[in-house]
Amino acid sequence: MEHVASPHLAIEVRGLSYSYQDGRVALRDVYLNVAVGEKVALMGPNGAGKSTLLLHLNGTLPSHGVIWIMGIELNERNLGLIRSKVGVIFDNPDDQLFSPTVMDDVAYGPIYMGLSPVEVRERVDWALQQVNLQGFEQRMPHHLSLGERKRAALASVLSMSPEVLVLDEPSAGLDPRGRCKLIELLRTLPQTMLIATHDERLARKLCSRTVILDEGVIVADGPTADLLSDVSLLEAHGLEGRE
Amino acid sequence: MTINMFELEPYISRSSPVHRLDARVKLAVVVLYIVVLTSLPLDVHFSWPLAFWGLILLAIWAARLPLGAMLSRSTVALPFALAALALVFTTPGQPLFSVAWGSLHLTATAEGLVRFLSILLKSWLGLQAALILSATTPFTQLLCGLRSLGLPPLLVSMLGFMYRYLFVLVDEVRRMMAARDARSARPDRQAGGTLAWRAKVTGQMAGTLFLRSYERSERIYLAMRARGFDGEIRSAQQLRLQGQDALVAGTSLLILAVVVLSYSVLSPGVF
Repeated sequence: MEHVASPHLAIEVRGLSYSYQDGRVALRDVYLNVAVGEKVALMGPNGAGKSTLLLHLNGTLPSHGVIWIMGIELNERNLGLIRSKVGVIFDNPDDQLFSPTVMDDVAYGPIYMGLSPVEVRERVDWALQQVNLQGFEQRMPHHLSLGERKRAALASVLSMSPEVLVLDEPSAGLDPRGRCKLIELLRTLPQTMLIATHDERLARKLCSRTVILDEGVIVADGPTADLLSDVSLLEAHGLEGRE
Repeated sequence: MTINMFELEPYISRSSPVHRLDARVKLAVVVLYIVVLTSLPLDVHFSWPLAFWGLILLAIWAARLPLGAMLSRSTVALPFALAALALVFTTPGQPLFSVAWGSLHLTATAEGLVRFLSILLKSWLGLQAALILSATTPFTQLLCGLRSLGLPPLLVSMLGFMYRYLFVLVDEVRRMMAARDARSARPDRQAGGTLAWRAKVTGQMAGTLFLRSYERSERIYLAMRARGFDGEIRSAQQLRLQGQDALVAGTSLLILAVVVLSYSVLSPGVF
């Protein structure tokens, strides 16, 4: 029976499997639903397949008819449309910032989408304001600090106004103040979010629901508070339990 | 998305008489082949491409390499050989056809065409020999062979670094391109931005990559200094010559000598 996408789901993954070229299995039959407006934390040990899963959500890694974003099936033909709906922020901001100035990076998305120069300028200003990088337009990305680069990478995606945000380890490497500011920022954004993270504090403060992935399989899915107080569950899957 | 060695050297782990040969023998044979090939004069008997390609095919067969893949890899020589296209029009001789381009009048000559084809074929054949070498010899062994055949240690270590960091670079390029694709959204099927803008972005990406690689190389140097690097590269790998190496080296020399002699007989006064 053909699957009909649900209108209330921002992300729908039904039976996603993926193996690397050398045969290693990264994901085994993953099922995951994220409702519109939900903020979900994706946790798990290194090598669990979190990044691999996230890379499927905007078509960077190929999948075959098992992913729907905002009710639209992810396939070769729809990639352009899907990428306007979902913004992926990689764990290494250097991979995301490929232009000589912050302004160029943040403007890339809107320009490619065909917006007018006035609209592009508006989007850039708004996005930089959201991440508190006003005045950084002419700076070179790789001379910024890690925190500033992470914010610039976020701005480069926000300027496209996607409905869904997928973030890979957004707080990794940030100092406590930077992490606080990031959590505050993400809290104010209305988008649906799926956040791969090791940061327990971020998960507790930001995400009402947590999913735990281990060796390519989803081993737990439930309210963040419950999962993160189950010490034996956390330790069994390479996460820190409360002492 | 991460590149692995298999993508860069897919035929290295195969087994064949050629794979098992000492790297130095393979290097010497290939260099000799290329030297003989490129020093063939223009008025040699016209069968030379067949003879030299015959040797290539023989080597591919002995190395158990897939012919189709080797042929498609060798087409990378074509764009460079096109630089010689000007020769068709600048060599004096018997005119073939004329081409008018604006205020320019170009006349192609038979001699020019022969020269151009000769360069094209020689570069294609030479490249195939090099491809067989790289497909049957792990790069690290190749470097060892180069070092023991006399290449200066500085050059050898530069090549070694290039190989080591090629994987890092390729990964970085792939991730940058994935990031660009991720932000290339087309909600209305009509992508915005002009072609010139897109070309500019690509150029900027190349520039950014260069800057990052340059800064990375400085960090690598500092790390090496921190581990006691004093400028002298030392390697742990050793190569050992075996009986079959000498046999192959001798046979290849013999074959090439035969080829050279036959052509000096077929086209007297040429060599």
